[in-house]
Amino acid sequence: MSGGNSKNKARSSKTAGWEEATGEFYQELYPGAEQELFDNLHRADATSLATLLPSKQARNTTTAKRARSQNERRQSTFARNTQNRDIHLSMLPDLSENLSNEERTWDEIMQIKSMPVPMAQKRDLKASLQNATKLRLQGLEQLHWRQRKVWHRFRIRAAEIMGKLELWQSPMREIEGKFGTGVVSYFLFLRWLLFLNITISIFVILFLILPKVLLVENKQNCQDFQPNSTQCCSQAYLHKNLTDSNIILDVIQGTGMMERTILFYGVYSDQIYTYYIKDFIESQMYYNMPLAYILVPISWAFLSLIAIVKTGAKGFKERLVESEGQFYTYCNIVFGGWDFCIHDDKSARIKHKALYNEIKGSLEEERYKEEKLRSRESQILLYLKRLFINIIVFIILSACGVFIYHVLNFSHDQLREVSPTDVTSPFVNVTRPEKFSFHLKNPFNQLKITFFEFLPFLCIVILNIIVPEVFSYLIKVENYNPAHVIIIALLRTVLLRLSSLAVLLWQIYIYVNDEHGLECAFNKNNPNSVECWETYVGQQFYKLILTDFAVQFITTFFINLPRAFVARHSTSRCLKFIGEQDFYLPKHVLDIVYTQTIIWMGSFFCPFLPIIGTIFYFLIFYIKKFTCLTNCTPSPVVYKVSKSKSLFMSVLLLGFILSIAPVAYSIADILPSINCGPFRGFNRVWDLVILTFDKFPSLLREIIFFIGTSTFAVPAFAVLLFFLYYYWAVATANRHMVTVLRNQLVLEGHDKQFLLNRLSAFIRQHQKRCEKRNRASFVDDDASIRHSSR
Amino acid sequence: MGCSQSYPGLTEDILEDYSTLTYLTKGEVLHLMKKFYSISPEKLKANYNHRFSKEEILQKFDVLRNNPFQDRFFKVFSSKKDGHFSFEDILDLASAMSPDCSLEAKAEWAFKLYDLDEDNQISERDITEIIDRITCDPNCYNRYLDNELKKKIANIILEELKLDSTGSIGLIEFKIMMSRIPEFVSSFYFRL
Repeated sequence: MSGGNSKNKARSSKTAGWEEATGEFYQELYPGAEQELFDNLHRADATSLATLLPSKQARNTTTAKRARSQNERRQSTFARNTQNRDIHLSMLPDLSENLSNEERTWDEIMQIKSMPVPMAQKRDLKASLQNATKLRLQGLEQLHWRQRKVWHRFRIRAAEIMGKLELWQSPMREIEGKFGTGVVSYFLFLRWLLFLNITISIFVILFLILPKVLLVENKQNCQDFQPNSTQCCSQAYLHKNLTDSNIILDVIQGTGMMERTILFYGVYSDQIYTYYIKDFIESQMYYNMPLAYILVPISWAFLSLIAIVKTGAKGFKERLVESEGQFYTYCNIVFGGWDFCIHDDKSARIKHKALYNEIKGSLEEERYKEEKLRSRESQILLYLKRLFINIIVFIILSACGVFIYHVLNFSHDQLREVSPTDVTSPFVNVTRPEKFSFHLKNPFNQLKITFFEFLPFLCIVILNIIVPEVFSYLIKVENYNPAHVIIIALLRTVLLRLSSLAVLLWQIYIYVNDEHGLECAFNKNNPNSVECWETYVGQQFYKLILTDFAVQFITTFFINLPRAFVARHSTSRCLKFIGEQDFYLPKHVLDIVYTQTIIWMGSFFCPFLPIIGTIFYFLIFYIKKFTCLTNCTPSPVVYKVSKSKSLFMSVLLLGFILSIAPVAYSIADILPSINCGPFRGFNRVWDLVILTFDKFPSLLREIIFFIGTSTFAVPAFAVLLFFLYYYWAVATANRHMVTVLRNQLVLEGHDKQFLLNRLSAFIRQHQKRCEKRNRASFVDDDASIRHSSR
Repeated sequence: MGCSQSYPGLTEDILEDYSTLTYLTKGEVLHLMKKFYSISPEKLKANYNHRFSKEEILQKFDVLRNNPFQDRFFKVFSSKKDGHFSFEDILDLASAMSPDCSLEAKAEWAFKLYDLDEDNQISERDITEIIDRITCDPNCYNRYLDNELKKKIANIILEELKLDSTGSIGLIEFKIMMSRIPEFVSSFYFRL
């Protein structure tokens, strides 16, 4: 038995796995087993014999294998026979001594926690391991092992600290107790987004806001007026007298006084700051503000992408491993269906019901699939119904788009009528007639302005709330597979939100292209043109996110809370129907992904947006928690954690790609305003990067140019294709291997069955023969007794 | 650590031991001790290994209250098999159900839990009873699944292991199955 181990020394680690497996197989038949076999001989049928097989026993063998160190192929095997309920510390002897070294012992102690035995036994095991004689390690190995210990201790300590600092631990536990792990995964996603936004905000604060606040800009006065001089134009823009309006309205809308703050793109300087740190460094230091302004969004975009892909990859890996099929579905429900963390009475009841429904649903789905030979007519009818409803959905989406378009135009026209864009300009002697100033100071007028500023966004948000309800009603009629229902509902809602955003962006684009800041603010001909279009865009996003947050707040507390109240305290069925809500996960996921998409889109134009976003996420957590715990009852739909996680990440990735596209376009193609911002004077924002790139050392430039040429690109592309093909081929081969091994297993199973049958037949025969002999001997004895008694 | 009161019998060494031998951090062990101690401080002071009865434990640790496998927990994790828990049993329970616990360890404990008739196999009878427990609300009895449906589900699960027709699942097979089911790790979890 143990001789097999010495052969293992020569093998590579891959085949060693198989050798060791066979070795273990034989080692399992240690002395006790044969006795059991003979004891159970009276149960000589194949099934009960099969229960004596090693693979059916609850014996645990933990082998501490160290594949790394080549010179130690000794293995100590702990074999425990749980049927006897005591521990045998049988160290199987090897050819050489069986002492293990410190590191091996330490490893084994670390493995003890995975044994399903009571604590008292674990402590005994640890004590005996520690007291056993062990070899000390020497030299390099000892160093290596010390390193491992230190690193391990560091990780444990870090985990302890992180455990104490974990944000929102008790709310999560509360939600877990009532709703189960599916809903908790949503809140974990929300927390993850919060941390992502905190990171982006830190970037922005460190590199954009702090320099803007701390460093002093060189004031350059406009000497002679030249029509395209950025200094004169921006000076005119930045120093004009602001309209005299209500400060609260200004804060909400982002206009007026707020326009000149660091909230928006406009005031960021286009200069390279110079500064001194007198104590440390004597010479002048430079800070290139425009370069920083373009590099910061690029870096947080990369950061977000890497974070999403890394977190999502874990979920995707799980999706690949799991397979569909009846076996896995039912295993999932039976062994993984009950959330052990639920402890609320009502939730437990609802969970029982949910599981019951799920089992029933799966069984029905089976029947549905089996009965696919339905009549032709009903199938055609079903498809027609689905086509019809898809057309309706499309019509609804386009209607929403058109509606938002009209609302935008309408409010734009109204705004143009009601409010002029500036009052006086310091360089022009003509002042506007006084009726305008009277016009503005009228409070009714101000409210009117605010209303029209927010009208489009209110419409967007309200549509986002109402239309998905319509969709969820429609999808019930279509009779889809339950798994498909969620995906299709999600897709439609995503399209709805995207269409409204797309229309908004398109309108902004038209408006900006029409009459944008090519006009110097110095002497404007068109009183209605926007002087700084980037600030205007930033303002729109600012308003959108504020409206979104406000509406969520209002719906939770002023609409859903009374509904829940009504549902809980009234007895009439109709009211209960209106009042009862459940925490429909896809809708809430879309809410926060939408917020995050707006933040990503708007951050270039409004650098403060991630910070506002962080604050909002923090508040949204409590709002959603309130919705979940107070307004909603536990849902009869079972949310699977692994599917949810991969769903969240896919939707977030989609949002990310869609949000980066417009920003990338505006960086690459649109003319920046001449009056404001870090890129005034350039033809495109990207020109600045090219300019900076030209100043690089020529070696670096050569390298990057070389990467762009075809001499490099084509072979690189070919190599990438080759690797892709290689990995695909390996994957196919593995899949084929799996089928081959499975077939082999089936054959082995047949062999085993055959042998068991033979064994049981043999045992029965043997028993019969023994009985016959016994009977015969009795007969003989009888005969001899009778004989003797005659 | 060391900021709050010290508990009799829980020295630093033992705490260190506990944290090495379970998947819990020292903070979590102390938190559990605090809760456990508050059930009845005098009894614990007298005897560190005092075993509390099921009702006392359920009163304090209400996570187990509505669990359909409650009795199984008290059978499997009780080291003296008397349905009572000592502090170390609670630690075993918390460690097995902690999110840091490895899949294999969870699967081994879960096998013991799901083996309702304790014959070291999960047989068809076990599976039907598990289905019963998870779908039936103990308070309202009008929602039982048909026996044939339950048998059908059990057969589907056991048929996959058609390689050996013993009609039951052994420990190793169970472990392999659980590694293919992503829901198992997230659902076999609670925090005491």
